[in-house]
Amino acid sequence: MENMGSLEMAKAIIMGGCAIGAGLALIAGIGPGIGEGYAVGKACEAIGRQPECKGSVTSTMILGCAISETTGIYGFVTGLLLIFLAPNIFLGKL
Amino acid sequence: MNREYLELISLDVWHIAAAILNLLILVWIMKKFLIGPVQKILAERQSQVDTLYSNAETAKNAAEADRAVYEEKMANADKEAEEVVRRATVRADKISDEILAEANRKAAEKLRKADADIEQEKKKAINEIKDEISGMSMDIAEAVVCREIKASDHEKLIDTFIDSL
Amino acid sequence: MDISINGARVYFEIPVFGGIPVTATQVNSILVILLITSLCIWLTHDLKVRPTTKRQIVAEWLVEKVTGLVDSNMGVQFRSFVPLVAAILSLSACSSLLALLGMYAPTADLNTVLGWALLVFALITYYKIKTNGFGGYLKSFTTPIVVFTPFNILGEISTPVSMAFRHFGNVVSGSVISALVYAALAALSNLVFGWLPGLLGKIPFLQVGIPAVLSVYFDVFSSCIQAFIFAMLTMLYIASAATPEEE
Repeated sequence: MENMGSLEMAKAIIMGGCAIGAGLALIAGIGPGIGEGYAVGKACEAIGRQPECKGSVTSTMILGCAISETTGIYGFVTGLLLIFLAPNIFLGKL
Repeated sequence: MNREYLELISLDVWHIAAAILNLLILVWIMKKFLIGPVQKILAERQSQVDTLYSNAETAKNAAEADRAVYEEKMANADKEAEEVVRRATVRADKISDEILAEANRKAAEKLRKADADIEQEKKKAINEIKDEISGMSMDIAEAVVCREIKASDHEKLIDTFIDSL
Repeated sequence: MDISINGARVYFEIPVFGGIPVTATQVNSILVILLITSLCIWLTHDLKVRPTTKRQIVAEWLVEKVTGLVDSNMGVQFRSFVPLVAAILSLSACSSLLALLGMYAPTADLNTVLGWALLVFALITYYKIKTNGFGGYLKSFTTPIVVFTPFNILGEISTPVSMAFRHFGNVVSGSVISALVYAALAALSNLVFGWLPGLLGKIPFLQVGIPAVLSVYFDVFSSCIQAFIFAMLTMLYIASAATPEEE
């Protein structure tokens, strides 16, 4: 560790920070997971109550799931940015 | 192998413009080659179906009218039949009357003719008898004139005459 | 072990405006457009009033489905949007399904979906201005109070961004996970069958069946769902932009 120059240290911190950030960003996946599970459960209830509405309930549920998935996708995109783009940008500034 | 790759997330104005252009081209293609022709065909079919329906409606109305006329005729048919029978009866009565009258007339005529014939025959017979009697009288007179000498002859003559009757 | 997750491959650069790179995205997009065009021409080349071929029935079914979708989500007065919706559905689905053939999916490029989303955003703004007037459009940013203006602007901008990132993220997440699974299976295969002599030990046996199951979800299901959702959101946003705001 003593051999490492301050530049290498900075690089290591950047890479590590980006990786940790990417990992944290994917915590965003929890929200859509819970939300979609709730939505699907409600849809199942609705189908159980009114089986004749199965088609419209299913299509509405899929649409709603896909929209509520957006926040999770934001997290995923942020993670991608942190892994693939951020290190180069930050390292370029060093 | 000197191949480059873009970054996973990279923005390029030209690429965005190309994507928009691609989408617009595909919209035009869709309109021109899929939606347009199919909608045209659907509209054509719709118009054909409409025509067929209106034709069917017309035919149905005509059939309804025909049926109404037919039912009315059926209702009138009884009356008409009665009328026909009545007229036929009247005509038959008339004809039979005529025939009867004619027959009566003819019979009367024949009777009259027969009477006339009989009368004439009678007259003729009487005339003939008259002629014969006159002839006989002449004969008798002749005989009397020839044989008046003998009374017995006379008597004989009378007897002969009477026998000859 | 090398896991490479890259963007589109650059084939060559057009040397104008400082070099416009022509990538797999553009080439595959054009391929997809040619494919869809030839499919359309094949489907509709011999239409008859009384359908005699299955082809025509399929074509009519497709058109009626898209028309029904537009009618039920936007209303009959938006029939002119049927080609746009059909184009978005077919282009998005076919582009994403290219990944099944092992080709680079144009929808895995953020530029593509961002372009579509910007087009939709332009349509939304056009209809908002057309319905409410330019003054009404500007005024709608200050509702309910003036303080909300930055948030309203942010919300307005987030529409195309969220549409683009949703589509892009779903496709890319599929390809990233596929790449990771491939690499993991290669490593596992190497671990399990690596003792086999010679070339036999280098064949990644485990890569044969398992990725197919994943690709059924990530490529087929997700592609179709994302195409449907993009088209659906387009219709809903435009329809709601075209209805006057209630005061």
